[in-house]
Amino acid sequence: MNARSGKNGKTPALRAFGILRGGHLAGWKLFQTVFLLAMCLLIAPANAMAANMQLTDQAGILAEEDGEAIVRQIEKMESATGWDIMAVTTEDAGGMDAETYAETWFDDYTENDSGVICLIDMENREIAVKAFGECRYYVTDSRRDKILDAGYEEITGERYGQTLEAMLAEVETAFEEENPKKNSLYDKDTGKVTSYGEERRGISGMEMAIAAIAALAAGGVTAGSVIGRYRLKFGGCRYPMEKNGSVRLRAKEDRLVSQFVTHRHIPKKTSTGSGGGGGSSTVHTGAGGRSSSGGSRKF
Amino acid sequence: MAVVSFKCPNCDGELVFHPRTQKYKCEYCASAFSQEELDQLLPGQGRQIQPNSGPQAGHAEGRQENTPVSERQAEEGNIYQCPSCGAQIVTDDTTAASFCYYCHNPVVLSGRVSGEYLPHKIIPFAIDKKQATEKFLDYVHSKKFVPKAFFNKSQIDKISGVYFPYWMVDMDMEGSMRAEGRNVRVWRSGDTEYTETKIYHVERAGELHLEDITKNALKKANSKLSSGVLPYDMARAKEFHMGFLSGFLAEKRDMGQAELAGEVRAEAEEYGEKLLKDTVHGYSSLSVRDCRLDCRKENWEYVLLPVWTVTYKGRDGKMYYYSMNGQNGAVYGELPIDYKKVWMLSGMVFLVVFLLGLAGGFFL
Repeated sequence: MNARSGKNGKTPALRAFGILRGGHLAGWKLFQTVFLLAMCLLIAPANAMAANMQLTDQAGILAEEDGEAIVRQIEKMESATGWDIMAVTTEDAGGMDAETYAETWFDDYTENDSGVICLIDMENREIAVKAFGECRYYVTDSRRDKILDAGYEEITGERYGQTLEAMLAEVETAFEEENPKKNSLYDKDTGKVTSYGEERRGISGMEMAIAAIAALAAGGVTAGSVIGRYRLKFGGCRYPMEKNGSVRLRAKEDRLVSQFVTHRHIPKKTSTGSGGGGGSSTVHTGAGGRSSSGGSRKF
Repeated sequence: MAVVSFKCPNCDGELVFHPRTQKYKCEYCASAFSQEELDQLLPGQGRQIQPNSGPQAGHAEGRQENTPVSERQAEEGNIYQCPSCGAQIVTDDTTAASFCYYCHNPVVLSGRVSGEYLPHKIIPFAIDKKQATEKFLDYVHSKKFVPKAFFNKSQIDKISGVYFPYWMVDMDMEGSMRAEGRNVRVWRSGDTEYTETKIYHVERAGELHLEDITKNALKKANSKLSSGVLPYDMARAKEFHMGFLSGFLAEKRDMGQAELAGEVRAEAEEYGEKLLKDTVHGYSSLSVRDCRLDCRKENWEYVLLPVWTVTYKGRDGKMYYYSMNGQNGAVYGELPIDYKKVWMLSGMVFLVVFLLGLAGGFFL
């Protein structure tokens, strides 16, 4: 039985990870869970039907407190980023490698374009991180290595909860430090390189509002200028001072009386882990047709 | 007060000043005379003195004079006798040159352009009525937001050449200015931005000279229209001669120096400060702390400047008034607006800016 904590329809029952731990549910509790889940699915809007699962411990390797900590961490990250963040463990990858399994899982449980999934695959003895949508510009190749390094350090000590926490922490760091506009995607299947600007082109509501205000101002100034000139509100004669005025200076003094220097610290906008020139994320398109960056590592 | 009418030395027809040739032209025999030629003509040649002329009559060359009909009429104001047909000419208080209502003979009221009202200078008309009409129509047709076919020649209600009175003031001033100049330099070193500010004490003192500060000297003149045609090229101004007024309307001043002195000095001080400020260079910003300007010498000259006034009855029934510089043809006056065209232009500007804004948002 899968152990899941849902983002949508966040009922206490679903969040109480301890109650939902895989393989240990009593019959009554199982009934309660299924009933509540069914209710949530009925009540939730259609687009939430395939909502992401924040934490799914199918392998049953996470301690209760670890699970709660991970859910809290994911919720915090999701509210900061607007992405879907998932943490998954499995002991049966269904014949897939860890990356493919993570991609398939993300495809199945999210409708959001952007998100990150961290996976512990006990069958293949592999950890994986996959980033989708906008997140690909944050999870660059160097970030992927850092995330996997952090996870690897913990998983080799069989600290599974800390493995996911460390991986998620590195994802959070990537969000804080990376400047996606400087990064690009390298599609290893096609060899195509795509910059953030090229792919993320679009017009936000704010941009539209600014354009409308500027356009209104320009239109208003144009009309005002024509009407003002025709109605003699401005214009007319100006005294030709350059031609009719002259000055013969008798005294001219320019004396420095004081000088001072002030300074301020310039806050760093971004400091990319992949250098000032921008990082690159190697991406490929999975079976579901969704492009993702990231990778996996055996342990 | 004498009424002067300029007569042709050849045929005794009336002489009028012709702007294109800058000569006096006889409307009847087409003779043309320059000012010098007219001045050189012997008495009796080119002038006629009416038998009923008063004591002032006959002392001007090439012109015919008449006194007012009676003192009573003069007190009632401004009734004169036409030297050509004897009809009464009724004028305003400020009229200095006009036409006889009956025979259309051009007359100059010499008393209004002599004595204290003798102009120091005059700029003669350089544009005649035909040119003025063409220039006016060219001007209004060049305006894109005037309703289509609003202006046409036949609708021009009245176009008159008028010499308007102005005061032109030259002023010498002693000026001093104290100001604070600032230079700001910004540079970065690592994560720190440094701003260096240098403050200077700036002082300037010297003699200032302003020429041709021009003020309208006629109360009834529309100040906007009378100042809208400025400036004139005063290098082409001539010594005043009554003959320049022949064939045009003219007004004498009814505003004296005392009335305008305050306004002129305020204007001169504004220009003076600007002149002193313009001598300061090389600062990011300049704040004037103190500026003193003392007038040392003023020279006021009373001048008559040529203005074509155009009265136009619009298709909307409204009367439109324009003034045109009689020297260079510059037109000034309120124009009718085709609001549909204005809104269309603003709409287009709105659309272009909006699309550019969206494109900027999309690509950047």
